[in-house]
Amino acid sequence: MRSSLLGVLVAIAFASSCRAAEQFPPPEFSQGYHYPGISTPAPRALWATYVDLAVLAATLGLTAYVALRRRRRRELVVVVVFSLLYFGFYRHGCICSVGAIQNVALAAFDRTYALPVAAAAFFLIPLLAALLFGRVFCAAACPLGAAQEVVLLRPLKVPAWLDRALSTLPYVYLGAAVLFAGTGAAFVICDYDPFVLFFRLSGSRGMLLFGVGILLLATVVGRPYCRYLCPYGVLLRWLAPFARWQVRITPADCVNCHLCASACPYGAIRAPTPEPGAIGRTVGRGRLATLMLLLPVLIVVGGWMMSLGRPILARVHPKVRLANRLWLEEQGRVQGKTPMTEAFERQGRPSTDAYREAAAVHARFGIGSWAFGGWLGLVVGLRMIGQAIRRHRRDYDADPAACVACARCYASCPVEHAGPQALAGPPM
Amino acid sequence: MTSTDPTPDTPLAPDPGYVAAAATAWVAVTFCLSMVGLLAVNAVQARSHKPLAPAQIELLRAQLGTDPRNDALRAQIRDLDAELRTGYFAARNRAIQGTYLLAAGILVFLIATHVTAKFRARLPLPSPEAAGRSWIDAALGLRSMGALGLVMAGLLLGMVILARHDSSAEYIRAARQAPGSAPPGVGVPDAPPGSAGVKGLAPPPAPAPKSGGPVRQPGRGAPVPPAAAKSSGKPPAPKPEPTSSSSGTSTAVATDKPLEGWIAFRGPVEGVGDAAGFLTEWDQSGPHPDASGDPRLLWQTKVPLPGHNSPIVFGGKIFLSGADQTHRAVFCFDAVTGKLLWQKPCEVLPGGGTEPPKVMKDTGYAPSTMATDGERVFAIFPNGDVFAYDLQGERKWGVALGMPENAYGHASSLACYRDRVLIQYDQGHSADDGKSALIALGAATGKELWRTRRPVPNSWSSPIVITADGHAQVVTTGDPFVISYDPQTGKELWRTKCLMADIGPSPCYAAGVVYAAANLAGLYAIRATAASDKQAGEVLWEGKEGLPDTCSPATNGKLVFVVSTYGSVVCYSAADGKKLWEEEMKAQFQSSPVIVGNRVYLADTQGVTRIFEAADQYKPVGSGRLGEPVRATPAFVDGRIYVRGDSNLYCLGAEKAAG
Repeated sequence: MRSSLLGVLVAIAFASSCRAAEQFPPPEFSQGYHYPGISTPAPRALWATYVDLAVLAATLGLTAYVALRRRRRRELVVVVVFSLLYFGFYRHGCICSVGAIQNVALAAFDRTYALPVAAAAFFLIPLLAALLFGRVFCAAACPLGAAQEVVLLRPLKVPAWLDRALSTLPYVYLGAAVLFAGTGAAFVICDYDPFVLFFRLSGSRGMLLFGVGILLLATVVGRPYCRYLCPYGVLLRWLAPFARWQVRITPADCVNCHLCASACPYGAIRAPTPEPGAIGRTVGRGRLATLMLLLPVLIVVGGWMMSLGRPILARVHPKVRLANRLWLEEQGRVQGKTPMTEAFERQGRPSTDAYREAAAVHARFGIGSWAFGGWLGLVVGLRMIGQAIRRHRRDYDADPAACVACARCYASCPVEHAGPQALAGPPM
Repeated sequence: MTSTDPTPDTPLAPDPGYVAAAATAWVAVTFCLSMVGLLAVNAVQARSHKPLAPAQIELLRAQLGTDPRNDALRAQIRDLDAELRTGYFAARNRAIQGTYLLAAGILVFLIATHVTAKFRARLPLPSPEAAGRSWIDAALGLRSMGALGLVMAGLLLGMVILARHDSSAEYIRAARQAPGSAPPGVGVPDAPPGSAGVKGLAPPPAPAPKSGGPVRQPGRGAPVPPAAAKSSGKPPAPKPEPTSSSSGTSTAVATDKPLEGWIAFRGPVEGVGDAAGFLTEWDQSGPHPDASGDPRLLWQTKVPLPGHNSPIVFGGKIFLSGADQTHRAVFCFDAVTGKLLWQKPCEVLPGGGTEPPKVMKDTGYAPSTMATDGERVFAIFPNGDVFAYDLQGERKWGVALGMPENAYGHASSLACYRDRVLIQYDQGHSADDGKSALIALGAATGKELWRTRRPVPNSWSSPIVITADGHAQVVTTGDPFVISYDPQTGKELWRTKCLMADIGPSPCYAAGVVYAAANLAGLYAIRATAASDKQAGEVLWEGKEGLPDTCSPATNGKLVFVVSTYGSVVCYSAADGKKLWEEEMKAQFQSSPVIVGNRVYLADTQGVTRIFEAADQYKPVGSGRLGEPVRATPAFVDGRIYVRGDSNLYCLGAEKAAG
């Protein structure tokens, strides 16, 4: 069956490639033909935007109700499919809360950019929901998560050490997304959204391969994009532990059977930990102190090294790429022109204009690269510190930062099946 | 990795539901794979119908280039083109349908697979030792984080190494140095060697105060003497400017009485009334029995610098401009003998940019035709520098409007009205840029009299000055408007939204109607009455055939002629827009048609001028051949035809008119 699945996903690759739109010159009509006028699609009506927001809010509320109160996986799957159809295929994956990070970042660093209401609301509403109910947005409202949820067939458990290392990557992605959006270079989250081309049935070959790869992985690894790439998940991870109502695996006392942890495909259930011995405590404290001393060093070194690599980062900006190419062409280091340089030359502007604009971009990246590098050092340092801190737990519980409220663990809990008397205490 | 669904120890008894779901999944996957195969075959077939790279058509086109009258070959190209496009869209439709079928197959497969998994679902087993692994996991996690940190440090190091070889520091340094350096000027052919500037040619020495006119920075500042501007790099404080009424404007230009001659692009707006005396046959394309060539060629003079602008003629003199990337100048020739009377270098004015403008080859560095008010001649170049000379070649003033943002290079020609020069300075990639304007400069001083913003992006058409109901109007075209202005105040009189995309053709006018055309929009006849008339700007009719992208339409009030670049000439009835005839000339045109009396003169890019009757049927009258391409529009004055080729200026006329 797995090989069949592989075939199907390869099929998606072929199909999307065939649907890729191509442009070519119009026929050279000799006479008698009137070219149709150039039409531009009208912007989405404001009321439709409000409908989207209402649907998002309703989906989040319904998800919270089903996942935390009803505790029914099957009902949650219905919401997942709805979100996939509405926010994914109907709305073509745009606008989404994940990408809205970039709009917010651009608005924060560029005063000339007016943050669209829809982007602001899509950014904030799931965060507010996370403060109330945990990561219910990931549970069923996010079309990216929903796409991975429906293709998960045979979940394998990722080793904890690997999971912890890989789950650092979303922090890197978040930093990069803010840097590139804030400097006006690119919206990398949208540019490298692996699912949007399936929603739109159109996209580049590279993104197609990336998307197919993620979906293939998602058949055996639960939500690889959400866990190891999604930058919005970082924000939700920060807020979910403070949620007023959180996922509780068992409605009564935990019997430490481990069944829930085995059922969770996302490694979001923390096992009980034994009390460390005296020697262990001493070693742990020493390691923690070392790491805390190392933290500022990591921040400074990260910022310094990234600032040295600034020209490479700045190449993401189209003005820098244009200036680079123009310079190489002028110096005779490359042959021929690119469409980008030809278009610039047709504007009749001197190349020094392009160089000055690129220099301004480089200046913006000067501060940005320091901040980005420092951020990376901070993330690595803090996460190492997090690993060094030993917390004592008696029961299995869902890590509110990692739990996406998928409701799989409920069915595995024997206490859940014990009867109404075991469910006397309301979970919310 | 370990499975979270442990396989049961004993095989399950086959359940009918499981069997059905599994069978459905297999059927679905077989269907999906079949669709993949079909889509792959379709994709391969689509490659053979790719209109992007029609190698066979290019081959046939090359053959057609050598045999342009081969209609069979032309038909073959058209058939092949249609076949390619039909095949392409058929393959594309199959791909779309196949994709939807494949998506349906995948959906069925996913549902069936999930159902299958439900039948085999088992609750996870307890794992008592898992709790004891937590410290081990934490220790391994710490190490993995450390390893990740090292990987990231390695990547950063790689970036640092790559950054050392990045060229950005070089051009940033160059850009910082650029403002401090002297602006690389555009020299003239006889500029003194050894001076700084582009390719060793510097701007010529500043004209002496006696001959040097004022020069103005971009914007609305007052003109300044060029010597002062050059020495300081900044314009001096504005000085009181003589008003246009006190600028000594001659009575000849203070009235609406048209000047005698060919005073602007395409000559008098109302056309030339009498065709008598103008040749209908000449041939200078090859060896001639007479050693001196065709006797109808009265003279031929080499133009020192190239340019696609057309000659203007006034007072027995011919004026035109020329330029290449490093030189530019204004030339004056004797209309009788063809002798070069004077040439004046046009240096880059302060504010005119530090680099030569980027222009298309078809635009060139001197595309805009000059204009005269009878006392002075005016020239504009693609970087926005405007110059005024008197008829003896003395510089009167220079104004830098600033480098325009123009995709192909500014090419709009100048027009004169009374005491002012009118400049259609359209620029920017969108009307929202708000950069386009119609500008009136004082003819005597170069002072900006008014500037009216235009809601259009860059365009390449030229303004025309018409007199409708006794009132003068400046009519302009741009995407998407035909707009009329009061030339005295710059106030907009009326506008009509009918054009679109790149606008190259200029409007023409006769009998209260303006005709404007663009190849993606149409030919529009627009009522051009006084602004008080509520019907001003009304579209009377529109035509859709033979639409031009470069050549301007021509009219005599009864007929309207439009010429497409690729050789189609269409004649419309001016009264109702009815197409009267169409003729495939089998040539390419960049020059605009000119109506002279009852004849139309139309020069193609091979240097062949086609002459046919301005009548409701196509009747060729004659043809004239020159030995070089012609892209400018000829001038017709006093029985002489002045034609600018790519390299030479020609004068054609009967012996008796040679004077």
